[in-house]
Amino acid sequence: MFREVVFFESLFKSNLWIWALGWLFHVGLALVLLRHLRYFTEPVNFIIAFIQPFGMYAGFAMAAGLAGLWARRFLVERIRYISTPSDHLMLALLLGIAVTGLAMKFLMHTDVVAVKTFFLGLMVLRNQSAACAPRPLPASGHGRAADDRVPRQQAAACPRRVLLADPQPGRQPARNPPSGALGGQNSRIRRTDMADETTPVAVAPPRPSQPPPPPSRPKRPRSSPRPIATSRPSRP
Amino acid sequence: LKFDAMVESNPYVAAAAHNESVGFPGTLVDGWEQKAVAKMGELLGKYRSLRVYMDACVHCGACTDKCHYFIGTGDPKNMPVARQDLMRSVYRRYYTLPGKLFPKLVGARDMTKDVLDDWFRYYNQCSECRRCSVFCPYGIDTAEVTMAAKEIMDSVGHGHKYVNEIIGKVHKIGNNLGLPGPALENTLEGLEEDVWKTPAPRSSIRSTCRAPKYCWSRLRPTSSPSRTSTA
Repeated sequence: MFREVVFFESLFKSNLWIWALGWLFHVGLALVLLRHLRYFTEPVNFIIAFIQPFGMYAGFAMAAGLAGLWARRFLVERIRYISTPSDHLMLALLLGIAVTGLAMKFLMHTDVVAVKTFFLGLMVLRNQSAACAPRPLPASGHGRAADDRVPRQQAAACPRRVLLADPQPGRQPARNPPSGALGGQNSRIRRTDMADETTPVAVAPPRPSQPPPPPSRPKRPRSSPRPIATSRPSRP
Repeated sequence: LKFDAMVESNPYVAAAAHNESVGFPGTLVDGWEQKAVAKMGELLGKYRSLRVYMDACVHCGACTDKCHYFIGTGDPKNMPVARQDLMRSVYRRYYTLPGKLFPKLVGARDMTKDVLDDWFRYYNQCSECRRCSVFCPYGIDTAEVTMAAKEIMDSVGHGHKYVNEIIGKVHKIGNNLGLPGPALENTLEGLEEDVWKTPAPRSSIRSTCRAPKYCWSRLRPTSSPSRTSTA
């Protein structure tokens, strides 16, 4: 069963071409999906961090496998006979996913930091502050500007505190820079759909020795509700 | 591929008497299209595997060159996946949303006489050997699809002669060849005579028996009335 699921054993015995192309595609897709977990989790699991470079090759492998499988539908007479339009449509959609994904990496680069901030906020239906923008990866250059401003431990601890517990009302935010002070890359991360700039953005002072507060329901006065992030952050 | 290579070789449809003798309608019933589709729904509800087989296939083509009936005839509809698709196209038309909305897109077909003729022709060319399911990455069992199709055809009165007639004979006469009692008796008597009269070749007895003398004596009815052989 394991061999069948992971290595497609009976397909290997049946037809080497289909096996090679199909396995290339499926393994590529699995790696690519795992690689994308880094945009939705914080902290990033070390396994996910480890497979990042392999995920890039997997993207090409996936596209190559799909292209080969699609070519079979045109070139092999038997396969051409049994193909329905929906089979072509499936391959076209999957190939579209692969190609657009690779294009976002190599042709029109996407601001993955903003993407991650957005999705982490979307998961708890709350905005993320720019200062707490999580770094996409350890030793990744994308979040460097955020690192300069926020100490390392704080950046790591920040999302959880922001997501789970609000600061006490009335407490002065310690490290919240005034609006407009953020420059460079962070001005893009800085959301314009915050309710207003006076809303305290939760950045707790660094307390690495102290565990984060328990995830209790926030007792926030409902006077100034923040809008829920439901769209992509607008970019200049 | 030799398209429609087997179109001319239609199997015989069972006579009404034979169909009725095994509890099926004698001839193709009125409104058989709806009844066939309803029967398919009944089988789909009864056998979860059939529904999975109908849904799971992605037309990868691994089975296409594995069927000896396809290799022998070259008729593309004898490829296991194409054979299943004869039924899958009808399944998609009546039991899936895409097939109801976009029949052309997913290759769905209405239940028509042409489709039934194709079923009768090609499902009866499948001997349910299950060679294709060994090679299918999903483990789809064409034999089960074939069984379901044959059951549907039987239920609307379109059975195969050499299936229903033979089963009818088993029920009516008692054996699949339809030999009447006296004829069978006579045949067995003749066989018995041959067995006792014909001397068995010595070499074969020796090679298969540990104690040739003993075995040989056991085989003679005169010397040993108990007819148990040790060989």
